[in-house]
Amino acid sequence: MKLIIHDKDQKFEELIRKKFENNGEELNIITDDGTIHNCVGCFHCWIKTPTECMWKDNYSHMSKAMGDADELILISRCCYGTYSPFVRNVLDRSLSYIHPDFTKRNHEIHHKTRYTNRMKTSAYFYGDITPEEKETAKKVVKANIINFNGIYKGIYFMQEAEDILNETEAE
Amino acid sequence: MKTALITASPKGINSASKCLLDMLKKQLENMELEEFVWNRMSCSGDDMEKIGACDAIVFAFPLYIDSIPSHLLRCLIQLQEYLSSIGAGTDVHVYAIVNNGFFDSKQDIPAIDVMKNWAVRAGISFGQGIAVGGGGMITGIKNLSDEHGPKKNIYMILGELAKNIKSRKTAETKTVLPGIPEIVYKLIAQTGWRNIAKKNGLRMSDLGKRS
Repeated sequence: MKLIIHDKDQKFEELIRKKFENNGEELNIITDDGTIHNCVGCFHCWIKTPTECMWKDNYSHMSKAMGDADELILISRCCYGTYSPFVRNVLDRSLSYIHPDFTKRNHEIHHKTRYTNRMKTSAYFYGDITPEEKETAKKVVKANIINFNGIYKGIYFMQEAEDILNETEAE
Repeated sequence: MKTALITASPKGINSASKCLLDMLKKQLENMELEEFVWNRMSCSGDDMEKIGACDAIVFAFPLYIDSIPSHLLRCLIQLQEYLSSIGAGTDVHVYAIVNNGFFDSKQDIPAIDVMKNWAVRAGISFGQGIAVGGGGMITGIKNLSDEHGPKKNIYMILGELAKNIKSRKTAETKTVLPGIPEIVYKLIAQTGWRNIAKKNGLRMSDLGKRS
């Protein structure tokens, strides 16, 4: 399954389906419904109700959504070289995709994995993006991929989110 | 010469970010300080006006999934628009203290780069970033001596930062770790999680549960 997290509206989802729904492949699309709570750093999703966030909104099971995905696609306005607040918010709420214990990965300390999948990850940033912001965004995405023990697929920059249709995906 | 100190952790005053700002504050003697706690998804107009009247702004926040916590990002967008609208200018300097729960302070660097980019968009100067590792133990050691033991390294780096803030200087990003071995940090953290999980009625195997 492909997990797509984006910060655009419902209409944009039609475009996404056109691009990513190859051969009837199932998509799990996470959209901003205006109800998301911010992560408060309580760690309940690790040490009280593992994998479940203490906030009971439509984003409380992001851990499972990631655990079920073989591909992660992030589509976001670029804000200062990171994702938009909504996409960042969803990632913050995905903490329990990883395990509280530490391990070494890429010669750095990271958290152990909870699930056995490895998400092929690509990020599509749109907006008026400076060269410095592009460099930062590349660092952020690569750090996320190491942190989530994912597999790098690609990072793309575009003026408008709709330009995603013209992007050729990395193999 | 007024300095804004912003605790920007979702945990507010009970956070490592607040402890780090308190350590910095001790070394900002004789300075006019204005303190803020940002742990909500928006910041008030009153806060922005007060911050807009400062010529140094210090943010302290935790690293969340390799970047800036989303609530802070929402506030930064608001503040950037405000600072641009009042023409704050490059005499205003922003400093960032980022802490993470790993024992690798360099993992804070992308978040510091985000703050640099934010400063450019806001039309102000980026002063310095301090990347702190081992953030998970900072609240636990807050009552220990600043000048000896595990807090010493951090206190000294924050002393350098304080000097730069006082003179509104820009400087290279510095990385720092608490003065304990990595293996001890790891042991304390993992034992800590297990103790809390047990108190919450979980079995040890539940920590690795999948849904």
